[in-house]
Amino acid sequence: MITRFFPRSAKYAAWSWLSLRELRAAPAELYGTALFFATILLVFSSLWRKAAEVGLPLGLGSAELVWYLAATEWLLMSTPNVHLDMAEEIRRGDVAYALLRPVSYLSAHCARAVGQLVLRLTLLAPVAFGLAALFAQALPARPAALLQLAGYGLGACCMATLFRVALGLTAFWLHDISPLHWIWQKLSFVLGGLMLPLPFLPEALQRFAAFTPFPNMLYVPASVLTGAAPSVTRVLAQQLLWSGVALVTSVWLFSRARRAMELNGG
Amino acid sequence: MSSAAAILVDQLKKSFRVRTSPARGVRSRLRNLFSPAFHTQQAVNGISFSIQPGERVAFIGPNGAGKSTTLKMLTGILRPDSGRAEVCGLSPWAQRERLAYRMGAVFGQRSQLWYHLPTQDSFDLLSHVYELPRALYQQRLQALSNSFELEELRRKPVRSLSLGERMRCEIAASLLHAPEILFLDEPSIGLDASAKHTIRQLLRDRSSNDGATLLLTSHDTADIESVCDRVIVIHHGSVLLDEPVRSLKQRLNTKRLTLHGDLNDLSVALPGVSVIERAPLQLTLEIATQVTPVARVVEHVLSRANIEDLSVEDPPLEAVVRALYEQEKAS
Repeated sequence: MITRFFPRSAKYAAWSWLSLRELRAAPAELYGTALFFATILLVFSSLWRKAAEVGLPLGLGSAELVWYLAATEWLLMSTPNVHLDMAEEIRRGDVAYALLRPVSYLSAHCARAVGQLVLRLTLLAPVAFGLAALFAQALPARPAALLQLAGYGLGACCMATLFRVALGLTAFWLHDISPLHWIWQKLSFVLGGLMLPLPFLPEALQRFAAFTPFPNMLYVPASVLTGAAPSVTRVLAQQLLWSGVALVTSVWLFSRARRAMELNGG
Repeated sequence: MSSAAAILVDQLKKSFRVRTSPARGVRSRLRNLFSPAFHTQQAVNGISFSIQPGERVAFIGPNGAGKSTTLKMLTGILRPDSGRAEVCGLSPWAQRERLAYRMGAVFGQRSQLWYHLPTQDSFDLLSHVYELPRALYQQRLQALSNSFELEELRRKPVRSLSLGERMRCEIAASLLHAPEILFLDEPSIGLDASAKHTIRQLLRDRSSNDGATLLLTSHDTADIESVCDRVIVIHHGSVLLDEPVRSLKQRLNTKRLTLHGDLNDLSVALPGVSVIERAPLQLTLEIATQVTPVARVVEHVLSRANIEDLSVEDPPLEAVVRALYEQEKAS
């Protein structure tokens, strides 16, 4: 149906499908992620249990924190590292040759990332929530919140993917994006509330985080499990706004890069 | 120049702004860090040529001659400083996407196949990329599978293919949308002798059958001799020579005479004749034909040795090209 009205969408759908198949054909990285997931949850669930013995702020219990961590890690690990693939392609000069095909370079990468994202979210969900139930020895206070998390989470991961695309494009100027990747990753850990919900942070930092996209990537969707999530309208509006910012930045960066490439080569 | 040409290049120029290396010393390095100096490097300096549909042309030159820059302009990756180019009647840099449907490209050191997946999956993706109707795609894939012997390879993941098998798949992938022009950059690099032979044969056959125009760059002159009919030699960004392969080989005015028989005591002391290779039962001579005619040399050796067989050939293209580059360097 979609391809009838948007004939060109078929090529990007094929791209998504192939990236999904590629991930299935080489699943070693996914197994490693699942193992890492189990380790993180084991360590932090023990930590939260000990911390709960002396009392946790905001009236949260250790089980809620374990479920929160499982949710944020699930979203973080499901978001494909599209920026690293793009940076490598740009560094090797392959990007110039990718332009020889009748496809949009950015759309192809986004389609590829969407395929991976859908599979990663699907395959890591039972790992995340099975382990969370095991280590927390409890289900979330409101199990239906898991469905809400899935919806918010998909939007959050798409938004995070678009930011990663923009990050990957900086390789045109930086060549090696690992320092920027490192900074971005640490900011998303802290300002996104990876380990702890944002209200655990000092107030000034919370206020600062609100002006960045990071809380919408992890904290906002995961907070449905702690009963602190904003309304659907607000979450959707914020995700759309930040996705728009990431998209415009990516398109702007790529058009500048393409101009530079046309003048100075790939 | 004909307007029906497959490729038309007219006074194409391209220069790059290159950062100048700082002089020795901390001071100059520091100055260069904050205020870098640049100079202009002329990569392509007003080249012109045209290629007719169905021609198989080699585009060669030493490293840094401007081959890749020209190819990048012809495929629309680079925008020239001045001049005009048309590929399939389109301006490559202004109409790159439209051109992409009508041209194919094979780069020996790059892959368009998905590494972990069976080749069939990459073919399927390309059929969507080039918006091929399903029936047409199946028909073309079957035809290519038959000529490139891909039936088994299509089911194997790309990572498990040998380099030769992968290159067969790469070329087939580039031909799937039946491009009018195929750009080939070092298609046989890294292949063994047998795989190189297969690739050259396939390229020649496909071009003859489909009438596709080939523009090939390669440092392996055997690729050029086997596939192409015409050679454009480029040096310092300008066309040094543009002529058929056959006449290029005759350009040096030399011939190679190979003799077989009992030749141990044979010495050929004639002006313009030199020994290229001596083996127990074989001797190869290079003859400068303007100094001593071949007939005179044959007569000379027949009268002095027991010759079982002899053959006269043009020098290999490699020797001709090397001589051309050396002449150009000396001038």
